[in-house]
Amino acid sequence: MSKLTDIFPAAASSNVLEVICGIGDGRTVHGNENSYTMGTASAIELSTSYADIAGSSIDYILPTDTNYVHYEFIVKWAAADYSGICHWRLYFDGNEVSAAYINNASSYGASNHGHHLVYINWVFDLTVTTTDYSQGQIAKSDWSGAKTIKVRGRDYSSSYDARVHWTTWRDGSSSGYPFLDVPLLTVTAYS
Amino acid sequence: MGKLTEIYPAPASNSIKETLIGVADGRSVTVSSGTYTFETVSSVLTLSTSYKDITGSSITYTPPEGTKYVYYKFSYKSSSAPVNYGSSGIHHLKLFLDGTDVYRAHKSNAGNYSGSHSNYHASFTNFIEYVFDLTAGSDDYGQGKLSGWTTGKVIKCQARDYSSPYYQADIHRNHWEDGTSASGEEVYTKPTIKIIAYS
Repeated sequence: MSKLTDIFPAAASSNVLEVICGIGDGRTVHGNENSYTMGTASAIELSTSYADIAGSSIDYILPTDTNYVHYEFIVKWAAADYSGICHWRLYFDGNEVSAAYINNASSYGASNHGHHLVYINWVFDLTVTTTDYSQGQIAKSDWSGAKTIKVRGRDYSSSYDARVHWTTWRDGSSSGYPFLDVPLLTVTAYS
Repeated sequence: MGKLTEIYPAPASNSIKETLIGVADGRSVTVSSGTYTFETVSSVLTLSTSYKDITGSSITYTPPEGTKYVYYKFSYKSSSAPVNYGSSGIHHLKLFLDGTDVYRAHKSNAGNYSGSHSNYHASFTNFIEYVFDLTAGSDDYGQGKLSGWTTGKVIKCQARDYSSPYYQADIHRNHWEDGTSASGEEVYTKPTIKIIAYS
């Protein structure tokens, strides 16, 4: 006769508790216990003032026993003027995670051909006892209920404008541009 | 009394044995195979024409028992160097496993040459990723194939410039912040490592 543990083996030991993954088209993604509605992106030009990047925001509720949360946002960026120098800041519950700051740009030039994906990611460490927002270290006692994680962006100056969610060309032509490149948001909770 | 299937649920069907993930800020992360300490990146890495270790990329990893594939991803920031000859910032990247060059993983990154070496705007988020195959009949580290992996092996990346003084690149660097030169902690971005062990 087989052992009971052979018939009913222990569950896989993966430390992934939950993955929320969706594109910025306003869809609702269902997690283990909660549902999340993604933002709706459109191809826009940034300004010299910081603005929320559509599709980057999620009001996330921790699964039980979460020790780490990996936030990943893949966004299309395009140069509008010269190198399209762009600044990206990550926020948790209204507080900046300054250690995650990113600046990107293409090479300098008037052709504005620069089109790239930008990967903004951070692993929030919930094993700490004291919260340090700037380092993305969040004590579990400071993450109860839904907390908003989002990205804000701006361009360097009006001489180096940048665009997001934007593609200028498709199938060998720019006719009908701008075309929308939707962003991808993934949030993974680990034990 | 609950149903037997509630007391003994079917095992999860995914093939992920564990995921090790972290930022290069000196943190220690415990997963099923052990506790791992990430490097601390607190400055820009300036390259030269000789390969050097990319800070934050190194980790000594032992997969859990029964692992068949190990996925490694190193996400980092690069920029052409803010010097008169930075231009496109051409740089070359290598992946090493236990001191051996995994040549299948070689890659190069660069911006477009703008026509002037003094324009060092090119600045990107990049990554190096690879899947090590532990089901091979014999070791071929150059292709990332192993017949097994039961002890700690160092996975790391190295980088160099294309040449000197032209096309120099920096790793982790941000040149600009809020319409001016970056300062303080924003001068660099800490990289991340993600390792997934698959059965």
